[in-house]
Amino acid sequence: MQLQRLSDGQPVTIRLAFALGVGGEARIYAVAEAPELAAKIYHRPTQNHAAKLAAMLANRPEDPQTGPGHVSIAWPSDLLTANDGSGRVLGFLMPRVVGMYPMIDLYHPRTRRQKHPLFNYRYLLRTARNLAACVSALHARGYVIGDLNESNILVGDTALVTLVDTDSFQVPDPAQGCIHRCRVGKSEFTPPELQSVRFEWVDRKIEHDLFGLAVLLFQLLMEGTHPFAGRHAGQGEPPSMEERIKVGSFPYALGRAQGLQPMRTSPPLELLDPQVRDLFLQCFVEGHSHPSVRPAAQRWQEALLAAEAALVACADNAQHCYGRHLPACPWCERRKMLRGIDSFPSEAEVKRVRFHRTFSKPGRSVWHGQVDYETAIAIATTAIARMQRERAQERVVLSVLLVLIFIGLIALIRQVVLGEWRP
Amino acid sequence: MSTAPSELEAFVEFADNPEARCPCVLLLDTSSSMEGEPILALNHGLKAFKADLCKDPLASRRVEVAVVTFDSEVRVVQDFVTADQFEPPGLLTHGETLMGSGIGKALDMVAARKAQYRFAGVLYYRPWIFMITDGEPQGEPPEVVAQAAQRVRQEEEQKKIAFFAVGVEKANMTKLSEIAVRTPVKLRGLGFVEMFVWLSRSTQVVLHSKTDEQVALPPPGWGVV
Repeated sequence: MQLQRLSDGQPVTIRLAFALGVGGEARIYAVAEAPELAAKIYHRPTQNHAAKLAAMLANRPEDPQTGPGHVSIAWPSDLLTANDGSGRVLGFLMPRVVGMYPMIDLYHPRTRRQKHPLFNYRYLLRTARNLAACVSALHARGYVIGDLNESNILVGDTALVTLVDTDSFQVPDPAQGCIHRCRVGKSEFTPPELQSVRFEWVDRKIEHDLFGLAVLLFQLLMEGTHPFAGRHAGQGEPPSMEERIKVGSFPYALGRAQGLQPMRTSPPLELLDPQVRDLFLQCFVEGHSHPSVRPAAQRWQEALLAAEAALVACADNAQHCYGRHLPACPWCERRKMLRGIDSFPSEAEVKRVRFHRTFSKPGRSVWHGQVDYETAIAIATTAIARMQRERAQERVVLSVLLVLIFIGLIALIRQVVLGEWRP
Repeated sequence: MSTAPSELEAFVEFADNPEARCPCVLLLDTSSSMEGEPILALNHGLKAFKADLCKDPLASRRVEVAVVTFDSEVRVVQDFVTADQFEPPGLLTHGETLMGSGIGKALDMVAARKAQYRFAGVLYYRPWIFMITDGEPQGEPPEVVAQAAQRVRQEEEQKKIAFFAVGVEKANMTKLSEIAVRTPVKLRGLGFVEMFVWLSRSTQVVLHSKTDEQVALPPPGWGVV
């Protein structure tokens, strides 16, 4: 399909059959002419889309972490119009983000251990700070993210952050004298005053974003724990997430018994740097009925920077980074409690596990007693294929070893023959 | 960390995955009438279920799948595991249709799992029980079935579970509607893959909205009501 850039009329080609992603409102495609760009095309493009995008192009936020090949906010770079001369806006161009992962992959303990085992607490703190910087840059230009949640934040191996899905933000439009609202949100990240309010009916405020930001930062720094997850002491079904946020039953609130205790398996609040801890209390306790006191993104940036500077490494495992305010390594303690599961395994451990995974032959434990013929054949076929693959790997290792021994022998023989051998 | 290590031991899984859970019991008829194509199609559908759940980063960590089969006995083929760790079993068919006992087992499992969530402090969504059968209760006293139906009704009313019944081929739909509060759905042909993909998408809709709201289902394209 052929489209045109609104700025200079240059053609843009997308292949409709190969979408990179599909959302409720639009599809995303690769751009044949520019591999560094992606095109987002709405299912039902409207005048409102066009006006909102135009306002976004006219007021681009500062990128807090520009660097080679990295953008922190996947902002629209040009509008795309139909090729039929009508000038109708169908979508827009934006930077194509590659090599980044959904943020949940890094704060979720199991996934992090499996996919990014060396992403230690220093990286988590840096991710937190980079996220706060992105939010701060947007707030500085009058934008409100609105639907701030874990799925539209991507993180890279070096803790750089990219915010995506930017066209869902709430956009001020001074030229038209209006505000383009954000019509979506997820209850887990929604502040008490907006719970059970229809998003399309309200103008979002920066202080609403600051609640969602604090939830995400809490998850990053507290082993994936949601700040309102916790044990319900009373009878009956435990209150839902919405009720908890609405009532403000933050289980870590000091000296307040509200019937909600922290999760048994979450780290203690003391894990956090004292300044960072205070900001969470300020957001979830004082900020509950006084939204204006929720810490600004910039305030988080400063506190997280200080927390990173106060990190020390554990003597037993350099991957265990923790705040200087703690008397002992909290990660060693946690490892003990979790029967040897290490939140931040040492480099040696990670290497050992990787080696083991490559060369061991794990049995497949699908035999639950009931296996049909088809499944049995499928399992046998994959097992044979795996065995053959592993044999091939072994053969490579063996031949390399043989060649090395052979080279050593030749060197030795040469030395003996040339008479340079002095035992 | 003031809790005793022994208490924590049982909850290593919640430390490793602190996400809220949406338990989903697949209660499957494996009586001999399901033999042949139906059971193969069902096994195929289970694989599609896992594959579709794993496409969604939240569903793969939040939806917990358990598989209970009922024929001449009731078996827990798979206790609750999150979708990313679920290995679809290959099911075989055998004997009669102990549906009432199967329902009882599924309800017991849900209650036990919820107690674990509560103890650990893990948030959870309303559990789903999804029953698939091609027949009617058989080989057990009628009281067992009546009692199961009574429990389903009670727990639905208290919003403790959402119970869905799906009939395949010659299933007794009248009997099913006596058991389930929600209108049972008749599967079109053996479209298990479509049905399981729909189930996966429906749980995802729940994950992305409120935890206590009514479970509103998109119109199923795989069945006839």
